[in-house]
Amino acid sequence: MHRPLLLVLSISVILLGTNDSIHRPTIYRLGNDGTPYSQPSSAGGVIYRGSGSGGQWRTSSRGGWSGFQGRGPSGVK
Amino acid sequence: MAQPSGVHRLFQSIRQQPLLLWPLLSLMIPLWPGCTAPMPKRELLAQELILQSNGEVIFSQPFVLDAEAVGATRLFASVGLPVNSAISLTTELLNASDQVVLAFDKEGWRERGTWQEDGQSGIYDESDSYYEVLFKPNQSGQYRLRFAVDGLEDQAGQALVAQLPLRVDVQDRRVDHGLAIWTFWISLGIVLMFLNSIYCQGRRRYGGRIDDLLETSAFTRMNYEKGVIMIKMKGRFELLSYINSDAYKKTSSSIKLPLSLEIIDGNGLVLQSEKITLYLNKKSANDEDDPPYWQFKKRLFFYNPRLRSLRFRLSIPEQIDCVEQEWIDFDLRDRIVSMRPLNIRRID
Repeated sequence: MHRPLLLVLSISVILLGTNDSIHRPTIYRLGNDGTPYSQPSSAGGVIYRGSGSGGQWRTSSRGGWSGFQGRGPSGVK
Repeated sequence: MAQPSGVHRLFQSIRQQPLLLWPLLSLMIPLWPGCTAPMPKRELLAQELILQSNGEVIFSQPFVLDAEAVGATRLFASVGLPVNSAISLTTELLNASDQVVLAFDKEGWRERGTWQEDGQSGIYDESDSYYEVLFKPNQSGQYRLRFAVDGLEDQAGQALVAQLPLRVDVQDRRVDHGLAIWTFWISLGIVLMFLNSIYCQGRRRYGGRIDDLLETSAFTRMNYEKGVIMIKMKGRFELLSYINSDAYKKTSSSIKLPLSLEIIDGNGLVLQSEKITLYLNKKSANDEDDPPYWQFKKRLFFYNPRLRSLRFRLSIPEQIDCVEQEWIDFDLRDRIVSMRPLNIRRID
């Protein structure tokens, strides 16, 4: 009885996963509320200035910049 | 009664194979996305720019975004920094009406110095000077990027004056390859569970850890359907208790073990009788101080051409050479199916 369920589950996983990997429904669309996903700075992340609201991007003033941080030799290892 | 010819025997042996191949088609499920045409990413902009550290605004070339395009649009930029400096770089995405539709800052840096560890030393040059933003456009049309340096400082916080090379890339149709790979492995795992439930199970009729194979044979008396029956055995032998533990060094790593097999029908008639040679192979104990043990594994397949009562009478010597039997894991199953031909004994 569990065999058909396993087949259905496998087909569902492949359909859902393939569809999501192509259409990427979780990616931020311009005009939507909020901001795109932000990764850590070291992984190519950014700091958003403002956010989407009411179909438009509302830019806010940027926060203070702390200047040089660096990572030091421990980060190289 | 005439003996069957060689060709007849060949067909008979093929027909009695419990081959069931259609479940293997399920392997196509995880492979299916790979059979469709891959969707390449599309390069919309690849440009080298020079940024002025005085805050001068520069624009990229215009590029066209398609709101209907599948996947995501990716903005990538990498700035070349002087050593031991930090930057705050502002990026704005403008639509055809010059309205800002996305704005963000990148706080990057580059540091060069020396490191020392365990008597060794060297030079490091590390930086965080690129960004990657993924989004989807809500309107098709022409867009461009606006860049400006908000600040460029050295380690002491002093402003620097420099011209900075900036590499910009815009692509769309970016699919999530990581998710696709995870999807493949998860789906493959479920399909393997499905195949395992078919090929490695059958129907268990009797089994467990036993001490006496001959005594256990009595429990194999039952009605068997037409089809393939499997007897799986895994046994362990150890050195005789009264033998010096160093004796195993002289004992062969492989010992022949004769298995006596008789198949008896419901009337007590012996249908088949056979002597099968098993091999006890020496295995090392988990604890190095313990003496080794000897193990055998055997799977026997039988084709039963019709429903009938059978008994499998099996026996092996409890002691051979200088080892004695400890236990046997016994497993009797029917309704066996296989994805490959098996060495099957036909019960006539």
